[in-house]
Amino acid sequence: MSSEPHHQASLPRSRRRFTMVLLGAISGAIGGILGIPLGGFFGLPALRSREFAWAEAGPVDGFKVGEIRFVALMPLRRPVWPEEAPRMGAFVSRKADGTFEVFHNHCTHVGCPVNWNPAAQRFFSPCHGGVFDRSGRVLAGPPQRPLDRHEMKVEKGVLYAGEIYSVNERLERVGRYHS
Amino acid sequence: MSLGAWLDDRLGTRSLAAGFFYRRIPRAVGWPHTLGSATLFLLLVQTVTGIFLAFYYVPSVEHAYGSVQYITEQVPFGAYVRGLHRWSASLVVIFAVLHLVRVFFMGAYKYPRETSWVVGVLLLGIIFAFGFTGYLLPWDQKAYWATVVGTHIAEWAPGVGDVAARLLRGGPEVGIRTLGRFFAFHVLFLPTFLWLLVAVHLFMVIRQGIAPPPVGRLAVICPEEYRTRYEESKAEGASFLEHLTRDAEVALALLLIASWLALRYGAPLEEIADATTTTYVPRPEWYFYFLFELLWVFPGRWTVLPAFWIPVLGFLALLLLPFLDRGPARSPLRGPVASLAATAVLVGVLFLT
Repeated sequence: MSSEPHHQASLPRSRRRFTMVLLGAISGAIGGILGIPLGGFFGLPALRSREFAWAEAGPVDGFKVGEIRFVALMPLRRPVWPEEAPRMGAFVSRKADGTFEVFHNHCTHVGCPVNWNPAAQRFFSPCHGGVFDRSGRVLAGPPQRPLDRHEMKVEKGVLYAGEIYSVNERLERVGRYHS
Repeated sequence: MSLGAWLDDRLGTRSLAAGFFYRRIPRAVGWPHTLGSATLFLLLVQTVTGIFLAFYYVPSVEHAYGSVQYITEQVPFGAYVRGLHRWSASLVVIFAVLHLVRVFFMGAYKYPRETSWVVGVLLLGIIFAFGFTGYLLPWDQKAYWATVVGTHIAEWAPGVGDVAARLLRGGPEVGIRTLGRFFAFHVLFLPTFLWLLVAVHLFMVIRQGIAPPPVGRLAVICPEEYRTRYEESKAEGASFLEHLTRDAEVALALLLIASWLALRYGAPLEEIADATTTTYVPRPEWYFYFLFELLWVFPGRWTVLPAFWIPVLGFLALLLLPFLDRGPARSPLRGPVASLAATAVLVGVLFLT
């Protein structure tokens, strides 16, 4: 270029290119050495799956057949930082055949805490009018999938709730979130 | 030898200061042009009060709520400092938006100030991120549930929603790591980028000079003649130092207003966060209402619009406005389509708020 400033022109073009490539390579190396570990440090703990510990929901005999009851899930093991298992809210449903379903208490629209209304036999979300039936199916409002559920198991007469998963409209398991 | 002369001898500070304080600014620069400096002042208040709050605040789920209670109830002037941080936060949002509206309607984002606009919109994004991360910190019911809802909305992002929500929360649910993350974002990451971008923003404003109001020969963009016209406008204008008194008056008025709000209304603290509530109705902070309420407008499967596309595309459109609107007319009266659209968006947002 004819308008090249003097100080730029004083460095021959080939030398300038070489210097720029070298500076770029060094910057890239510094960025990579710092960036890859820091990216993993930030992101990987958040993406780890299966970290929900089994939590006690209560003795099986405490749940009446046909009833849906709110329980505060108490994590089994003491939260070991940072593998902490949070205290959560859930709804335990004991169906007519005596088997259980455990529902996560966050609405599947934007996560507001749902409540079970025994008189209406419905779950209601307080935010945008989401309504679910006793199996967690959407009856009204904006939610696009049934209530999420907890894995569960019964040991020595006690019901335990585990990891949360999502179900499709046929109530088949589809993963943690809508897929 | 005075200190000023000593420094000037070594660093040439006097001509630097003279160039800054006594530079001429275009005529008809007045009160509307104090909105930017008002935002800057409020950001300073936020930084200072935030640093002091950090002396007592403890970012852990066991102690966060208690430490905020301690600040509010026991620390001398604690209620005032926390109230100031809270109310000044709302004022930052108001004044940043007013500043943006002023710049828009005066056509100040057009040639040669497109870059100032882009950096300004990024700063607005940072301000909203401050709001979103800030109100989790007291770890009360509002904090917890607004964050459950806020990160749940991120799940609606097509394809990457689950990963994005988990990265925000630090795990599958809002918990101990969410608080740590939001704290680090709020007090370390965001302030660093905020002040970096503010410095860039101010550098551009000083380098290019304050945008002249869209009147007379400067009402139409004309890159070839812009510089001579701008110099003409400056020759008729006042010196920056005189304008600075307006900025200072606005700053003092804002501090008084924020202080009054802080003393009169304080900063609310609800019950401690409880994941097992069955009665709590989450409500976001007022400056996110319009998005929250937008969820009513688009029900069901359309939720992805208010949850993702409208905020993302809206922000991109705002960011790239100088490149989308390339018309030469700076006055809003000459570009009625953009102005009407902008007015409609503003009215809509205000209505939903």
